[in-house]
Amino acid sequence: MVTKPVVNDPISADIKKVLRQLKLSPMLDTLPERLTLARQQHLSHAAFLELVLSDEATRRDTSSAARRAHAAGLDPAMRLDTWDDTAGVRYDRTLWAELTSLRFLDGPHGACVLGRAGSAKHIWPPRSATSPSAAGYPP
Amino acid sequence: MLRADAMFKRLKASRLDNSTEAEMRRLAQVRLLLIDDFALQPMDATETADFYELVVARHHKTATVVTSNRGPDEWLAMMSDPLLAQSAIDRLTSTAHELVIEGQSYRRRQKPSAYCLMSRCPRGLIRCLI
Repeated sequence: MVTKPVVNDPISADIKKVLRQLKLSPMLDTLPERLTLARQQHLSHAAFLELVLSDEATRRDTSSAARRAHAAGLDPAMRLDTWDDTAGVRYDRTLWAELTSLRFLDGPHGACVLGRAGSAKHIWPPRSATSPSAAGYPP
Repeated sequence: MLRADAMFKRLKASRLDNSTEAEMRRLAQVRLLLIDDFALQPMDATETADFYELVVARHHKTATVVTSNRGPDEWLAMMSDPLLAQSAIDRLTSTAHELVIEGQSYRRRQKPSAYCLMSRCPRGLIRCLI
């Protein structure tokens, strides 16, 4: 009879329970890899804690931005990093940089984005609104 | 982000259950309101009045971005009440940057390439298109 090798789960049931209690269960997805990394690199307890908490902070930022973009009716594909810079469209790049910085919100100022059909004007505001600097603004 | 026609439709619908004030308040409070395809089609008296109310409520308080196929000088002709329209356009444009995008269609960029289409076509039928 072949017995299955016992694989010790590095994450105990108690840790899982506490993480769930603290609404930190998404940390379980990356915790085993982070534990391995910590062992390999001989991270101190403080450094390990910083690593896993930074993971969680990044995860929350990402999901929060995605959730807010969805609630605001923005197309998630239309982000700054998906813009094709080789596209044959002309625009004032200085003004574009100003608008994507979202500094105009503090004015508060607005913007009129004008162009014929298909000139990507509808892409611009969503790209602005889903840029990292928009993270602090409610949709 | 709201398409202009959808926004005006929503405001019209809100009159059916007397929620126009709440709907307008909600739109007025959004810190960055993106109105897409503004003045694409003629706006009736109700839509013009709603637009005026919205612009007045947001003026100097919150940021509004409008995308349009037409320039602000053409918007007036698309609206019903010239007085309200002029007042709204003045307020909106007085605090707005104007970004003009020219050139070929960006949508063509998003079109799947011939290679991409062929690789996805199970029976090679796509060949007739290219």
